[in-house]
Amino acid sequence: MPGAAVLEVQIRAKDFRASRGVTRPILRDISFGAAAGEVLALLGRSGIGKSTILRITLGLDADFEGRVEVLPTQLGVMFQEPRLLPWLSVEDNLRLVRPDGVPEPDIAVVLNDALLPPVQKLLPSALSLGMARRVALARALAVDPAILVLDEPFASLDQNLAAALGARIVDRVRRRGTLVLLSTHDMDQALAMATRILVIANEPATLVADIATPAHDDGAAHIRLRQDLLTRFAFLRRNGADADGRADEPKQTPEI
Amino acid sequence: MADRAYRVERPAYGFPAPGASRTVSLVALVLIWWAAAYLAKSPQLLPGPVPVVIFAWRQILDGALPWNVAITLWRVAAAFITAMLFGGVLGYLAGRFRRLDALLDPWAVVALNLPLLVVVVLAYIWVGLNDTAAIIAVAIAKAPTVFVTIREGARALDQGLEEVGFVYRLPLSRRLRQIELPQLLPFVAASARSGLSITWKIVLVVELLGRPNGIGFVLNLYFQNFDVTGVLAYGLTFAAIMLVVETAVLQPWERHTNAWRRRA
Repeated sequence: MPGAAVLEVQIRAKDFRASRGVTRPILRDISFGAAAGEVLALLGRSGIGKSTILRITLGLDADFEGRVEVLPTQLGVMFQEPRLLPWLSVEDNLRLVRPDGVPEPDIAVVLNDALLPPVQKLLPSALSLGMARRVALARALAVDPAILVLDEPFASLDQNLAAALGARIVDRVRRRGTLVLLSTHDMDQALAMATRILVIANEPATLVADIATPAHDDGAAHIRLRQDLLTRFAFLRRNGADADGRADEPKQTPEI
Repeated sequence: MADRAYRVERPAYGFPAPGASRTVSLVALVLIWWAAAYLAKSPQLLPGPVPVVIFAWRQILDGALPWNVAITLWRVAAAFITAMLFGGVLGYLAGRFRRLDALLDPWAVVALNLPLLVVVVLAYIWVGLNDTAAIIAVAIAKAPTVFVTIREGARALDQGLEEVGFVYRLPLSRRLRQIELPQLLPFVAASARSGLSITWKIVLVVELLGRPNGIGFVLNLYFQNFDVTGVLAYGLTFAAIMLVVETAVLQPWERHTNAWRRRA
């Protein structure tokens, strides 16, 4: 069960500043909190600003109006790109992020947790994009994080692998009480993993719904919620048709 | 069905391997020198390779050549390390901090365009006719190019990898050692390689102008006596030593620092 909040995010406004003083509003009025043991899915079409919300949450983008409070705790982060150090082997990439004083992780176990074969001696250049992204997931898990941030974690994986990895992450949350903050444009992935779904829509992007998902073994409730989401949010019906990141579609088709 | 064995043949380019090409090139240079000396028919103006080698060998046995080479090498090493440290640290900081770059960039432009002779003469006047002045003059002449190269390296640091260090809260020492230094090393190696070849030439000028020993000083002596054999023996011996340092140390190191880029 979720406990006390370990994360509070209040983004009143976030603009992108272009040259000649031109600003483009990106985010408006996005507030949420989260507690240990929760899996929060930021659900929205590609390019809506989900990664920007994660960057603000992680402290990588301070140019916004609002505040973010994260309890001082160990973070595990999987960016959209693998971001592995190309001069280090896979195992050295995993060791790199180990906090001081923490015992060295069993690399083989960590790789197995991310459904990877024993690739620890390889350099990242020898891996496919999908494998490199799973190594990035393994790196995030290797630090035994209290907060796990995943930005479109299964984007380059096939459905079966994505489902298996999602199940492992959910299992980990239950066992260790990890807070997971996940961004995705895939409604089914969000439904499969999340305890709460935060729907991000409109332009500039706002938080349009904060929905608690039913228990994972309640199939009928899940189907009802899926249908409800499809009815309420047009961008989900297009089923990823906006995956190229275009931002002008919502103007012609109201999302809510 | 039996496995098929495939054999990949190297394409025949019609050129020898790079190592062999270097040897052929050097031999050709000596032959051209020998031919030019033969045609010049003036051992005072242009001696052939054999008299120069004999002269150099006698100087080695005499101890004069090793002694002067050692002194010049020491000055080259001291000036080179000073320039690399000074220019490298400032270049890194300028590449990381825009305001500092705005302050240092005009200085770098002035230093890059300052005539070497002005630097050397001023160093000798202000510091005195000693090794400290010589090393400072060479370091000041070389450091701006190191500064510019390392600044470019610092500007090119991968922001995505920096963010990995930030979100995992890696200690500063680990970030510098594991994330930034491997990205900077190719720039350091390139700077060192080009820097060494410039440094030793500057050191010879500095020695010629104001030191009582070293290859530059000896070259000046032989120049005044119009002894071309002596000039070639000392000059070519030192150039050969620098060539060995370059090919045996700096080039392999540069290849090593760039290895991950080729594999990536």
